[in-house]
Amino acid sequence: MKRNTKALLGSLFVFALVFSVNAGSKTNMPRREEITRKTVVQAIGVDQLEDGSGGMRITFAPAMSRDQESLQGSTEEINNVIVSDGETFYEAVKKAQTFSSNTVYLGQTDLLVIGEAAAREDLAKYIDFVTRNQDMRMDLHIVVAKDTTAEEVLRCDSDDGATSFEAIESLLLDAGEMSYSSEVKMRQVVQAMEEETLVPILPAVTIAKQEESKGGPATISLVGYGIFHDGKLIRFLQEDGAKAFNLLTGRFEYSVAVINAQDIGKMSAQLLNSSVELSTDTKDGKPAFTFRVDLTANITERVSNNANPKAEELRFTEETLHALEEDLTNQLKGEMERVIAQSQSDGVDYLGLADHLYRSDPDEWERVKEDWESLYPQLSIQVEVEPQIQNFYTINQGLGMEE
Amino acid sequence: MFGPKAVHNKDRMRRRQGITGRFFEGKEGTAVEDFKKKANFQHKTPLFEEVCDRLQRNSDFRVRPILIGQKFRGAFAFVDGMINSGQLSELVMRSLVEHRFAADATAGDLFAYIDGGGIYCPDQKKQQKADDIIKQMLTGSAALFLDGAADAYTFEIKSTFVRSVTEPTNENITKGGKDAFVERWLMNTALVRSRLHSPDIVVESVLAGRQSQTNIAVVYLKNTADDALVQRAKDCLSKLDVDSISSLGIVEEALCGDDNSIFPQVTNTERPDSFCADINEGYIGIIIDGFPFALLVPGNILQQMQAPEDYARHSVFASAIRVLRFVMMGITLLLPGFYVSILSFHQEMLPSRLVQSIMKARLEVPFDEIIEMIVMLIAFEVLIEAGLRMPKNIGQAVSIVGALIVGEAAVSAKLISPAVVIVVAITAIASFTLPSQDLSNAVRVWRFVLLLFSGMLGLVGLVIGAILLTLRICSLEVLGVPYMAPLIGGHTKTKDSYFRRPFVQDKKRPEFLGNKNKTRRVSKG
Repeated sequence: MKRNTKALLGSLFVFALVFSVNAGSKTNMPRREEITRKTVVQAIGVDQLEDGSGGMRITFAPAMSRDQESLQGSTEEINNVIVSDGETFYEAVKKAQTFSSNTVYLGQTDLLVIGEAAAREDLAKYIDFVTRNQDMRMDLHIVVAKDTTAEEVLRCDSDDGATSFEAIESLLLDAGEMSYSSEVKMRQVVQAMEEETLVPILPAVTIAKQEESKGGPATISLVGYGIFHDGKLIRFLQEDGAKAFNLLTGRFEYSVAVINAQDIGKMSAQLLNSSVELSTDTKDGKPAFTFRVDLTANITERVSNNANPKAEELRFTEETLHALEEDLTNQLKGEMERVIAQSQSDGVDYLGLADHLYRSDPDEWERVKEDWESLYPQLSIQVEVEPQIQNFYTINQGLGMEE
Repeated sequence: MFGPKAVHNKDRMRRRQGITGRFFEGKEGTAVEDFKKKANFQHKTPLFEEVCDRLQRNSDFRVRPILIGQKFRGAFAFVDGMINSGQLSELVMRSLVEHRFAADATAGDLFAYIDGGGIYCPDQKKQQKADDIIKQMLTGSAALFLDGAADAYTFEIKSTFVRSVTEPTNENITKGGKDAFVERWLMNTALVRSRLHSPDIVVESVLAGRQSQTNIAVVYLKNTADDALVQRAKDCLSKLDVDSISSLGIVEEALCGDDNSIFPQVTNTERPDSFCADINEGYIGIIIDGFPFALLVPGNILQQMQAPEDYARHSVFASAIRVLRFVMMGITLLLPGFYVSILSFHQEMLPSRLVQSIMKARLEVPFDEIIEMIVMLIAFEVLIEAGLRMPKNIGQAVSIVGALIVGEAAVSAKLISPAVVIVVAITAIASFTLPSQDLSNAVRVWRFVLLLFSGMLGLVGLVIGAILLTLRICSLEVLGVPYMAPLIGGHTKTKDSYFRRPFVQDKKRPEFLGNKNKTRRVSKG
C-alpha cells in the first residue's frame, strides 16, 4: 500500500481515537447513556402557574408499563405523571430530575398538551423550548385543552386501561370519522406562527365528565379546534362548526348528516369524498373569494315515520333525491357560512384565504397585505355546495311501514 | 516374570519377528553396494551409483534389475507408491524384455531402439544428471539405468492414487457442471482445456518451493489477457522463495498487493466452469499442484460478490439476488454497530413502542449494550470455529446446543437481552449469503472494528469507521489493478457489475483488466 495512503489512514485512525476519548466531555458529540436509566416521556402538559407568577407547570407522562410503577420512588409518580414547576420550561425539566429516579428523557415525546389558560396567555412562550431542543421531535402532536388544564388531561386515564397519551393518540387517529377535528404536528404550528399568511390551529380536547348519577370515569374527548391569533387562543370551534371548518379547509374525511326533507322524512347520510376549490376574484376593488365544495353522500338509514301520510309512498326518484340534496346543501352551506361569519367577526383569517391569495396572486397579496386585518371582515366570501347522493341502496320504504 | 530376563526375552522375540525398532541400519554407502549387487551391473555406472547414494536412506526407494532383450543389463529405480507398477511392467518392461535384438547388437542399438519410440510410454526423457533423474523420480517417473552407460532414461508413469473428479463441495449449483478441480495440476489444466478448446489458451508453469518442487501453472488467453498483467503475475510467482508450498495461502500472499489487508485480493474457485468464464473475461488463472482449487487474479470485490449460479438463473432474478447480497453485506457489516449506537446514543430515533419493549427486556441485564454485543459476536465466532472442527456427526448437535440452549439459557438468566440475540442471528444469516468465504471472513473482522467505533461515538463513530473501511479497500491494488474497480479508477462499468444483464446485452469485457480483446462475441442471430 502506498505510504501516503497508509499515513492518511493511520492519522485518521488516531484522530478518531483521540476525538472519541474526549468527545463526551469537551464537544457536543452524542454521549452514551444507558437506556434503562431513562424515564421516557410520552406526553408533556404545559400549564400556566395559578399563582400569577408567570411561571409554568410542566406535567410529564412517562411511557411506563404498569409493572414498572413499583420501581418508581416519588409520590408524584404513582399517578404515572411527574409534575414540576419552574419559571421556564427548561427549569421545570431540570427540577424534575431532583425527584425522578431516572433521567427524564424527552426524545420520545409524541404529544404536547397546552392548557387553556396557557394557550390564552401566549402559545409561543410555552412551546419555544420544544422548538429549540434538539432531542425533541418536530413531528410530535400538539393539542389544546378546553375547560381544563393539561395536567388534568394527562392524569385522566380511560376506563379500558389506556393512558391519556394512548387515548388522545387514538382520538387523533380516528378524528376523520366525524371530521370534528384533525391531527396537527408541531412543525405545522411553527410554520403557521412564522408565516404571516397562516394562523395556528390546534385540535382541542376536553375531559368529558360523566354525570355522577351514571357513574363511570371521566374520559378525554376531541371536541374541535382551538383558534389562535397573535399567539393567543381566541376561540374554540366545536362539532358542526369544526366540521364546516374542515370542509372549507380541505381536511374533511367523513361525517354524518341528518337530513330532514319535508314530506320525505328523516334520513341519515354518510358524507365522504369532499373536495374544495377556492377561487379568487375582485369585487369593489377588494379580493372576493368563493368556496366550491363538492362531496358525496350515501343514504345510510331512513327513520320510519308512519305519521307522515306521504312516507308510505316514498320511492327514491330523481325528485326525492334532489329534494334531499337541497336540504343537505342548505344544511352544510349554513354551517359553513356561520364559520365564515365568525371568522370575519373575529377579524382572524383562519380559513387560509390570505395564504391562498399569496400563492395564487402574489401581486394582489402585496397590494393588500398591509391592510389585510382591517380588510378581512369586509371581504365577500361565498360558499357553493354541491353534494351528490350516490347510494341509497335498496331501501324504498322504512321497516315496519304499511304497504 | 517381569525382571530383566523378561525384557531380554521380549527383545529376542521382536528380533525373531524382524522388528528391530531401528530405522536405517546400514552405514552411509553400504546400501549402495546392496543396490549395485541387486542391479547386477558388470561395469561402473556412475549415474546409478550417485542416485542410489542420494536416495539410499529412503525405505520406499526401489531398484529392480532387468535383462533387456536377453542381452543388455539394466535396472529400474523408482520410488514405491509414486509410480504405477502395472504400467511399468506392461508398458515399459515388457517392451524392453520381449524385444529381440540382433546377436551383434550394441548399446548404441539399444539406445536407438529406446530413442526411436520402442517403449510404450508417451513421456520419456534422456537424462545426464542425477539431480534431474531424482526430480523426475520424485514426481512419478521410473528411471532406467543401463550397465556402464553414462546416460539414463526416465519414463513418466504416475501412480493412480489421484482422487478422481468429483462434485464441488462448496460451490454446488443446480444448473451447472458437476465437476471440480482435483489435486493434480495436469488434470486441472485438462479440465480447463476441455471447456476452452481455443488454441489461444496458454498454460505456463513454474516450479516453486525448494523442498516441495511444486508446479504452479499460469493460465490465460493470450489474445485477451493484458500482457503486462500476465507478466506481473508471473513475476510474483517467480520471486516466491519458500521451502514448500504447503498451503494455498502462500501463493495467495505472493500475489497480494498488500499483505496487511484482510480483504481477499485473490479469488479462488473449485469449479472449472467459473474458472474458464473468468479466463475468458481476461483474468489470469493460477493452478497449483496439490490443491483442488484454482486462483484468479486480480481479485476484485464485485467479482467476489458474484456467484456461479447467477449465470444459471434468469437475469432478473439473478439481479435481484445480487442486490440482496449487497444489502446483506451492508447488514452484516453495519447492523451490530448500528444497534449499539442507536441504543446507546440515539434513542430518539427509535419508535416509542420499540423503546418501551427494549427497555422492558433490558431492565435486569447487567451489561452495557456494547459488552453484550461483543460477547455475543465472539460466542458466535466460537460456534462457527467449533462447528468447523467438529466431526460431522456431532457438529449438528453442537450447533443446536450452542445456538438454542445456551442462547435461550442466557436470555432467561438475564445475562443478555433477546434483542441482541436477534441482531446477532440476523447478522450471522446475512454473512452466510456472501458467496466468497474469504470476503465473509474479512467482513467478520471489520464488523468488530465498526462495533468498537459505534460504541465510542454512536452513529458518528460508525460513519468514521465506514469511511476508514472505504478508504482502506479503495486504496488496495492487486497487480496494479484497483480492488474496487470498476467503481474507482475511471473505468466504465460492465453490464455485469451490480446487475446481471442478459448475455446479449453484455458485450464488453471488463475495462479495468486492460484486455486486448475488449468485446465479447455475444449474439442471438
